[in-house]
Amino acid sequence: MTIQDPHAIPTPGADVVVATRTPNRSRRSSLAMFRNPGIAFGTAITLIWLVIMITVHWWAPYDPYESVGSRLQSPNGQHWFGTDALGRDVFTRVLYGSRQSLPIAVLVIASALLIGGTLGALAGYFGKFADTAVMRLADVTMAFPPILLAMAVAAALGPGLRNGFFAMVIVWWPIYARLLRAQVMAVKQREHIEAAVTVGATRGRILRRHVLPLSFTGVMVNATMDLGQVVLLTASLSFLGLGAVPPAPEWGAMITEGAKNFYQWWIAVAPGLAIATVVLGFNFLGDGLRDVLDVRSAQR
Amino acid sequence: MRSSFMGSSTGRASGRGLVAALATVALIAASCGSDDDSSGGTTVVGDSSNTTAGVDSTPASAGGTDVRELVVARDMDVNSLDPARAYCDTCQIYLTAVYETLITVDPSDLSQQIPRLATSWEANDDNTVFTFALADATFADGSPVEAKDVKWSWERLSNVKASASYLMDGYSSIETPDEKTVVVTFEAPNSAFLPIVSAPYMGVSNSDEAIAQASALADETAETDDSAEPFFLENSLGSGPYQLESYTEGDALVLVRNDNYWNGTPQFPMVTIKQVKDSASQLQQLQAGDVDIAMQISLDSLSQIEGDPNLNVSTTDSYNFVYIAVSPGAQGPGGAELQDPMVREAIKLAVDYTGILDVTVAGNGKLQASPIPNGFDGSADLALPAQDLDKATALMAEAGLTDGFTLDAMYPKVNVYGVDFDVMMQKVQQDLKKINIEVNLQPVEFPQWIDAINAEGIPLTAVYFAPDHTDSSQYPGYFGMIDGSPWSVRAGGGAAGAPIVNEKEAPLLSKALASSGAAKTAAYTELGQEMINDLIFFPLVNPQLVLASQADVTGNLYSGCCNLDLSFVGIG
Amino acid sequence: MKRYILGRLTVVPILLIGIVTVAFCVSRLIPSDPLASIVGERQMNNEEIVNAAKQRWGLDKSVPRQYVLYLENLVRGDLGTSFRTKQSVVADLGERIPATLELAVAAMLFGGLGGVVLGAVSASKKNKPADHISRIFSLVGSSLPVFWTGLALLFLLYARLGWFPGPGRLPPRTRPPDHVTGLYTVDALLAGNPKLALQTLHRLLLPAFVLGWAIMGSVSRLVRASMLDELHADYVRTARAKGLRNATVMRVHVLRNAMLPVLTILGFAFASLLTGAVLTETIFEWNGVGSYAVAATRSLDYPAINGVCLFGGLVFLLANLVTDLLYALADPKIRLS
Repeated sequence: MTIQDPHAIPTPGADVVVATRTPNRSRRSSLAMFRNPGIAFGTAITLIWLVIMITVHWWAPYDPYESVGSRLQSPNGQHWFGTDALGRDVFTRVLYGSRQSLPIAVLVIASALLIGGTLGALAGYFGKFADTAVMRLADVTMAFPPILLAMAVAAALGPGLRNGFFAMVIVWWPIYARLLRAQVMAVKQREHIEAAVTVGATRGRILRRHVLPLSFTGVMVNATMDLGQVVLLTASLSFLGLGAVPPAPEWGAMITEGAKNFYQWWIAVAPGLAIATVVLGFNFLGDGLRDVLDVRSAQR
Repeated sequence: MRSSFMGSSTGRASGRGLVAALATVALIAASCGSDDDSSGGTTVVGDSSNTTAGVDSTPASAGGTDVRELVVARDMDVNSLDPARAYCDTCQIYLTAVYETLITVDPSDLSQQIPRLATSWEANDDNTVFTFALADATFADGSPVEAKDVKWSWERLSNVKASASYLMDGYSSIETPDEKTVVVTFEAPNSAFLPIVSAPYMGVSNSDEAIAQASALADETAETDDSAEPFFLENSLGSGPYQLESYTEGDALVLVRNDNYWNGTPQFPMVTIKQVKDSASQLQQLQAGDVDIAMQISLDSLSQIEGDPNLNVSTTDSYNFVYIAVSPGAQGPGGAELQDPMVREAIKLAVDYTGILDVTVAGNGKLQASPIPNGFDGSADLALPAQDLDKATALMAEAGLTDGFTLDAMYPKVNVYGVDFDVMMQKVQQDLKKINIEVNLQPVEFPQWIDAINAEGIPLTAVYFAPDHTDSSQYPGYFGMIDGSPWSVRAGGGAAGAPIVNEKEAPLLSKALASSGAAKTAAYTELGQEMINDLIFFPLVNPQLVLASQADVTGNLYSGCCNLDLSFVGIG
Repeated sequence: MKRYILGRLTVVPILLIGIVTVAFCVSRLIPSDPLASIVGERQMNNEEIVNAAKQRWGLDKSVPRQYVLYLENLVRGDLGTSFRTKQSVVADLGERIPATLELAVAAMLFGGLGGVVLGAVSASKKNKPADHISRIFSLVGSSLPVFWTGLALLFLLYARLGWFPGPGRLPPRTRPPDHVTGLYTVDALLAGNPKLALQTLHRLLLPAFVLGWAIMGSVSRLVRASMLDELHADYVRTARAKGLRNATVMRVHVLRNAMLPVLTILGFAFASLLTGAVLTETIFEWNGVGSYAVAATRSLDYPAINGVCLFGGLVFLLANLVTDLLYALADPKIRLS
């Protein structure tokens, strides 16, 4: 987001600031990735949740969809986080919630990266009309407050996480379009690419072989942070009733249930903590990656 | 005769005491000029001299000094404040406080119909002509309430063709022989009309001012050309104890005392109905003393305030109910299978009714046999539904559907009368899974629901209903498989399908409207059984209501006609 | 510089038209008929009424024609009439913008100033405990779902401990102060009612904290990074070499220069607050633009949805423009070009 970039409009939700900053700042951080406490902590949390997501059906105490006890029990030995309005085990549902939020977060970012990144890279590389068209569309999309845009799209398409997914891809693609474009433009000016051009490599080859790999670092940092933001927005949409459909154990929807049963505080506490830890994990990871990757690019 | 909801609102809780049914029975028995008592062809059933029982018909009096402002916490569902277009539970409260009806119901003793703008009323033998004598009442601007205002208001209600217009269905003329007499004539017997007159939607507005200030129309052109609605969002033209001060959607409905009130001095200088969405917030604000009355405390949180010495908390039976409905003509998945009555019966038998009562209202409610709610004429002698999984499984096998099928269930995403539809439908989903029916839940916003159900029907849905008045006729009119009734069309698959008609029901309804006493009850009972046999509606919960206020608040009663009648509320 | 500013200004209307167009398209994606929210459930079967309503609300025309009409009205400052409130969308927004503005300003003060302070502390105590604590605090803030934080704080501080007032902008049994700005705290002061001003301020604290905490992370992170950059700049080394005290260097040179990039994010953070208050307003029953947006979405109220989107976009563009101009004024590279 340098001011010379005529299209630069950062988004409120996503932190695109660092990614387009020319990577020459010196920063004395730890060299080995995992000696960075942020990365270590973030990786640990993320891994824990990944393991839970993959293995939960082997060891979860109950079925997340079955009523397994009397309703609205406060936390006890049998139900660590109590039971909800239907008598389902809150602990089990929170664990299963990872199967809703994590895959959708990865899918949203991957799709946004694929669609937005491709458009942005092409825009940045070819410039001129392609650049103007893509970037104007990105500007318009990004001028919408993300939650409003997602709400409007989700309301139009109907409830369900699948429609929520489309809504969120629409929110996120411009961020990656802009990011990739900026990276491509910055990298394009480097000597070895100019050299490649003089040697006579084709544009596509240059884009594929030289430009994209160099853009990888900035994208990775942003994508990591954005994973957390998608988890948050998914939960927010579900909280507003525009995301997950019952009986899915989605964290935001569970908080809505908790809000309805305000005095049964345990229903909302656990899913809230689940969201917080997942997002915190991604944020720490992204923050740490940024520190570390910046150093590496400075050394290059 | 419609399900009484409007807009995408949630949390309506209109309450009806149990006794209202008795009121209806007693009243109709009397008003029909019971056969053994028809000396003069007409019978006076109401008269200002016999209203000493129960609460005074005059509003609670201020007694000199001003008491505090009254603050009521409520999740408001206002669709309009135009007396001819309003149709919601909050509207009932507003209209009752601001626009008066000719007759009302005593909230502490619902067997009493008491006068308001009318001093007396009578019906002819066959319930086709109704005559009302008006009191010397005045509107808030001091001008007298005259017969022409009643005629104009009722004609406007009928002609704008809004949700409550059906209340005037079937009238042939409204005559005003003099300034204080109104005569309404019906084409066919209408034993429901006197209860209907006490519905708040039948309130009287100042016609001269409505025409002058708002260019309001009351003739046939009102349907398309009347544009007075915005005016009524900012002004009121009634004769009631309170006047509209301001309404801010999402914030508050503020009423001020009508200083010219013709029938005593209203108790409160100001009444604020404050928008408070959640039951939990309402409860907290009541406990903190921030509000005087909280109208929608959930039954699950009742234990938080029971025994609080600063509060007045009780529960009462209501006439509200929540039901699921299956539409054999619906286009979506499951619609085809539902055409087999055995499948519909299997669904009925698979539902765990007591479990649903427990899950939705913590057991504080009743089961209900037919779409005619407990306490209404025709509800008493019908068998309550019960779960029978073995029989349900057998029926599914007989229908050749042992492996089950998928059933789409779109329902409005609401929380009404303490029943959260998401919770209820998840329970239904669990229950139907036991006979291998895979229910696909689709909670949607209310406008989308209406659109879907009118266009092509919905295989399985959930809805709620609160009565508009105290007569049973509204139920078969809405739920009956009678040509032209809303559910006859919906069950048949909306506009894309063909209405389902049960030939027995229309004649039964006419018979009920023309009869009285035991014959009328028998007719409604028979109608109730027919609606059970239709296997379209499965009423699930008839919830209780929580009445909660500060300990010094008096008169926080659910009125059979009007939800909360503010004119009876006081500080004691 | 003139050229630069002109260039920025000309983009605004183009983007605005784009926003209007996208908002219009999104709302017309809605498969259901919005008429149900206008005419009510029963009359949906009455063709006459449906047609009259369609005509009155302009829904009988083709979608492109509706779009042109919408643009024409927009030029006259008319955003149409809300299906739900039956009031003009401009009036609806006018009633609600001050509430959201008040919340956003308060959250901005908290999140923005808090973020700058935390970031500055982090940078000057890099890798010391103070740095870690402030980084963790701000990261936690941006990781918590605001609706959950809001609920938790209400449960603890209001329902259980009673230290804070409940949801809503005004204390019970109080009228709003005379309308001057629409910001209750300011209006109460103007009306000479400091007690009410304090009460409304007290009610503002929790939602402002919840909302402000959420943006504190991005502000403090940027302040920290930007200050660290400056700390390694040549002039700082020179200043230190000349023997200036560390605190003086920090205050006089580093913070001032580091604020330049921070300025930009503050502008955008404000825009995002103003429009992203959706969840906070829902929890705290704050009758602002955010809760209006939620209600509009629920009732498929096209004119209101479009109006809110347009408002959000406008605020975003204005914030963008203002920060650009400030940046241009501050940055000699642009000022002199």
